[in-house]
Amino acid sequence: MTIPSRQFFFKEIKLFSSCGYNKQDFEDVMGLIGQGEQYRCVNKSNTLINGLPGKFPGYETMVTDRISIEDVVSKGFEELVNNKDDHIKILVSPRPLL
Amino acid sequence: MGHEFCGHVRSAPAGSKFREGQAVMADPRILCAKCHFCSKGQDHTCDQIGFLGISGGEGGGGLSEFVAIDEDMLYALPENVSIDFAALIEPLAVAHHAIKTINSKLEGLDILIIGAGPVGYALACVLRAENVKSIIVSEPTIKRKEQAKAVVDKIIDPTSENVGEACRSFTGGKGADVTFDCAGIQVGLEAAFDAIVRGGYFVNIAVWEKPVRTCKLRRGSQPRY
Repeated sequence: MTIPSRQFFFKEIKLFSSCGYNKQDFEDVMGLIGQGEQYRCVNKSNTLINGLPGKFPGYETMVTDRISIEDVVSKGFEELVNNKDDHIKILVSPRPLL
Repeated sequence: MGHEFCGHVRSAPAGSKFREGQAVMADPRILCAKCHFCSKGQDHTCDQIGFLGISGGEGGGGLSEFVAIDEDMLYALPENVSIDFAALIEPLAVAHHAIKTINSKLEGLDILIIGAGPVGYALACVLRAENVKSIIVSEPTIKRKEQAKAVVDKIIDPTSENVGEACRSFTGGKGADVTFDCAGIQVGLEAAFDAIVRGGYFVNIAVWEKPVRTCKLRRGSQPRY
């Protein structure tokens, strides 16, 4: 990785790094996620954002598939090897899906 | 395997704050609780950090039938939060940590996210709660662009558009106040440095696979702004 030093210098870009989360972050998110009303609003492209209660509208949309643990190799790992760009999160359930 | 998981309590020791059957979310990290960083609230940089579901060991992980976990690392799910989505709390915590790095309020700012994978997407959700002015994302793949529509204001395709120019045009000529790099690749970093406003912030959340260098400050060799 190479940092373009002219832009870094002349634009006075402030460079930070962020690694994982700490206990306080986890506690914050656990507190925030249960707050608020059913979330309904539109973004600037007029798409309806319709979330569960909580401070983080739309987070449920991250789930691109749900599979049973029986299928974790074919529909989980192999799917991510072959079609990585089609997914954000595949959730795996230990029980057969209804 | 699997470090992002939630579940129900199967058995809790006497005196525990949890009861059998209770819906919980796990903080999967294994911390030493002794090092300087653990004692200073910087446990994300613990000397011995490990994860249930990544580091091996006997505790299990998201793909095991049962998990043995310290109750300090378990959180009861609020009643109005569905367990069907609770595993997403882990990536949301990554995003929540990232937005605190710059120690400055994000309200009213134009934010650019490089890459709409899991972390980029979680960031957009968390930023929405901070009342930022706009969330712009640079993402080349079709499915992820479709998904991102639900939570961002502007999607730039870096394979067909100039990210810096598209960003400036969307922000009245200014550029992004803060850029979060969730891709960790050279072209993404260059696009971010071009798109950032003067005096703006670059926050890396990706794991860079190669050492970082700066190129020489030779006149005319690189764009200045």
